[in-house]
Amino acid sequence: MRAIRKTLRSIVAVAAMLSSSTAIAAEVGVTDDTILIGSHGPITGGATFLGLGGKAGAELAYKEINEAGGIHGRKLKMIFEDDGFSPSRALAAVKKLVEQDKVFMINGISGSNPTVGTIEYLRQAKVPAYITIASAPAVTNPFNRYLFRGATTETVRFGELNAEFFNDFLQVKRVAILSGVEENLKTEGDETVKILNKWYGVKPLMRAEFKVGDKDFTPQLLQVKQSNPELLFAIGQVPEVSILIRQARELGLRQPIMVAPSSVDNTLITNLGPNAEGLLGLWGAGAFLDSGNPDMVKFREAWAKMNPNAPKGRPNLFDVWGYTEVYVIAEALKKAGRDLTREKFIDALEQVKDYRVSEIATPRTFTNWHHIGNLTQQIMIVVAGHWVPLKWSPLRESEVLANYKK
Amino acid sequence: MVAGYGPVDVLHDITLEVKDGAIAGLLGPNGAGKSTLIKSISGLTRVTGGQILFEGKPIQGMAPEDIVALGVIQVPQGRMLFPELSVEDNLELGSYRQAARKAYRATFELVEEYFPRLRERRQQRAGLLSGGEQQMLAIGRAMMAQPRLLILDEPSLGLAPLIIDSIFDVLKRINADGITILVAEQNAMKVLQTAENVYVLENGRIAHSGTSAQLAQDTTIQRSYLGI
Amino acid sequence: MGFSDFVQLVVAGLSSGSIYALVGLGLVLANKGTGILNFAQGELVALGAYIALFYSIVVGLPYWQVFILTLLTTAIIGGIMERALLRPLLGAPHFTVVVATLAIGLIIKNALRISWQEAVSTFSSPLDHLMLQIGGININPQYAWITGCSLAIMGMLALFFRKNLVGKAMQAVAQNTSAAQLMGIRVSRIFTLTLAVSTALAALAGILMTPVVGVSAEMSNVILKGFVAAILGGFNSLFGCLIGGLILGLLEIFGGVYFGGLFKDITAFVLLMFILLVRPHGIFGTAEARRV
Ligand SMILES: Nc1ncnc2c1ncn2[C@@H]1O[C@H](COP(=O)(O)OP(=O)(O)OP(=O)(O)O)[C@@H](O)[C@H]1O
Ligand SMILES: [Mg+2]
Repeated sequence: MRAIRKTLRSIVAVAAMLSSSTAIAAEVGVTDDTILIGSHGPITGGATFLGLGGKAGAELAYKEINEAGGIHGRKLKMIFEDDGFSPSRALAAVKKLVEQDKVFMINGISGSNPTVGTIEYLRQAKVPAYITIASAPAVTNPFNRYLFRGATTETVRFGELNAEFFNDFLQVKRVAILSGVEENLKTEGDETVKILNKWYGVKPLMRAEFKVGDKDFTPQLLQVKQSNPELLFAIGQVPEVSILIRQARELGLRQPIMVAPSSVDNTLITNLGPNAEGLLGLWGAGAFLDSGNPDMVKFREAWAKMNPNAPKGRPNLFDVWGYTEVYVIAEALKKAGRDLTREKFIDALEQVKDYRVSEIATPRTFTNWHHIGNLTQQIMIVVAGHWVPLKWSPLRESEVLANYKK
Repeated sequence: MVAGYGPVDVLHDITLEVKDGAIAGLLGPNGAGKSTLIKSISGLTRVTGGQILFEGKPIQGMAPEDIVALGVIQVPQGRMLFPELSVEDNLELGSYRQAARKAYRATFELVEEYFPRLRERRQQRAGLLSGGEQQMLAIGRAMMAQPRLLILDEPSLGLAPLIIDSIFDVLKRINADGITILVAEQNAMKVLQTAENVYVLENGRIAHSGTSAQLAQDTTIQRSYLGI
Repeated sequence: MGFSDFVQLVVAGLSSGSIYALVGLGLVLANKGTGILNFAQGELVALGAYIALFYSIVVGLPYWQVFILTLLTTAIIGGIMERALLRPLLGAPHFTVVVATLAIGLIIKNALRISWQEAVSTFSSPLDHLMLQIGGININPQYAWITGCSLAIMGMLALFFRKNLVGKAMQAVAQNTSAAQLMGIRVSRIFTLTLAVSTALAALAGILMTPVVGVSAEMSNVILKGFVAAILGGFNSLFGCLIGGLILGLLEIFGGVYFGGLFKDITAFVLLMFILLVRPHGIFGTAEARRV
């Protein structure tokens, strides 16, 4: 008797499984009242500024969306895994989220290296992945239906914007470039040099490098001084760039200085005080963190309410991105309808055009031939101790998307 | 008393007495255990059995600095000066203890009176002194601690006979000033001339003891233990 | 290179040199005083900077109070470290002690990384963002303050060793521990005090460095420069460390200018190798017998 009942039960189970593909039952990670979304990022180790921010921002967005009734009657639920900024841990985290927690989709809020390690797996598992931060080209190139990049943009685009800004707005031809030897910093320098040459036939006067942890940049700066540029482009992280700029001023370099997006941050101003005045840099979101823009004020207040014991320097750019990108996901879920499947969700994401939750974000656009959501960066300048947007927008069309057009 | 280093006992069944106000001698060849005995009194070695009494109170097991505080002061074998410090600083460190520091000026003058050579060398680095001067400084440094019992470990080691004589003269003066002395030596002659009671140490045991006069007459002992 | 660039390089080189001297001095002090080669000295530099950061940002104290309180706190930490972690290893093989200090360093470094995750990486000093102009030459007053303060503290320390009885007792213990015991010096207390002072010296380096380079756990790398400074100076004297540090600071910065920025660190180690081969006892050191 017992054996028969067991057999019957498995027949029913198989039948149920078969019928699920005919969309009677819901998609993996989707129930009547919940959609499970898996996330990973570094909340321990050396890159916590990224993971802690991204996570807190996302949590705020989920809370708001759920309090407003969720999407088509379903609440969004995030399951978060720490990846410690390690590619192997990130892959393990994603596997766990997909196979054990059976999430509907992945929303990656980690850096380039950990994220790149998960790409192949996600592609094969056909799980939609919305990558919020990682800027590595491998995320979107070659094109792949399941992977989207939201907030950051490709390094090539930074090169284009830098080159156009130097020539069109600043109208400088004599440029000196100092960059960190790390891959992503170096690449930004390389791309800028490439586009400067390709679009304007301009070659930088000099280029030199430094390392993370360097405390003294006099040798490189003396070289800069000798080349007598009209602009110094310093590509590095805040700690190094702070010292570099201070020393540049000490050595009597009065030229304008442009920094990389990684140092467009209030810490740079704290570190440099009056020496920060006039610094230029690209900003990858909408209104700046401390701006009086009503949308930003509203975001800051909501964020502070949810994180009452927040450390100084937060919310940071990653809080903003964690938040705005969850709204992009929600927008696509809304478009996909109550009858949600992974494939429908992807189709809906590809319909997203110039969407942003508010003025704290730049617009996102995806199509069925490219998944690069953001090509917009705002030029910022430090005035009276604050990063403020500069009134300038690029005119030249980006060549980034040309790679994807067949 | 039994004492030694690590698990090894070097001294066995030692019984030794130093009378208040006297000079006692401790004789014995190389490796007999003289230094070990002295270090045991100062609290620098492990005492595994028996008792060490100073003025009637047991002191074994006490920390070296507490034994110093009682006035039991050692002039170690090989001087053990602080070579990079000046003569004056070495002397000052001798009176490191609170009690001794109060009388610092007076003792300092007394020491320079015992050893006028030190006065001339006051600012010199101890490491640059001659052997005799170093021994004078070592004794002077110990005197700065205002000892009640002064223990010297081979003060004659490596010194010229004339210097040895002058050092033993000073020891007699110190004793005359009321300080009890225990002096360990291989140089038996000098001790027999100076001390009242003498102990002969051999392989970690007291082989003989008696007054200097007795030992000075006992030629067998002198030949077999003291190499005279 | 113009004259004004030259002067600026000298000023900057001297200031980083005095930091190296402080770190080296802490190493030498602990080593001579207690026989410990403290491989956690670099982490103690970082620890000092973080404690100062804590007093400054979290407690909100002004620079001078931060300065004094940090030195006191780290001195106490150094003393506790000696009592609790290093004292039990007294008499253990040299290698064991070295590994223990390495472990202490790692623990401190990771504890710092975990306990401080705020983005703010520096604290303010009264000299922030000021610029001295002397005859058209820009000089960061922080540099002058670092050099001056290091020199002053080292001078005070030298006086302490030369004039103060406790200072002399510390030297006595370093030169002959059992003789020091026979003077009635409580050697264990001197050990504790020595580690307290050497830890406070590390912290001083951390506090002084911070306004110029910011706070990070990686500050601990400065231990290597401290070693070079100390070895240049013969690894046994305050004055030797000072000169060793200053020479290193200057050579490094000019080395960087002539051989390129990325070769700066290498300059220090080439110098170290050279000294070890040609003058193994340092520039001032003599071939003294090692302490046993
Ligand atoms: N630190 C030590 N550890 C182990 N054994 C020791 C130690 N010091 C001395 N000994 C041993 O103890 C014994 C007695 O040595 P001690 O130094 O007391 O002799 P001594 O009579 O003072 O000789 P000397 O005339 O050479 O100074 C010797 O066998 C010696 O090898
Ligand atoms: Mg002996």
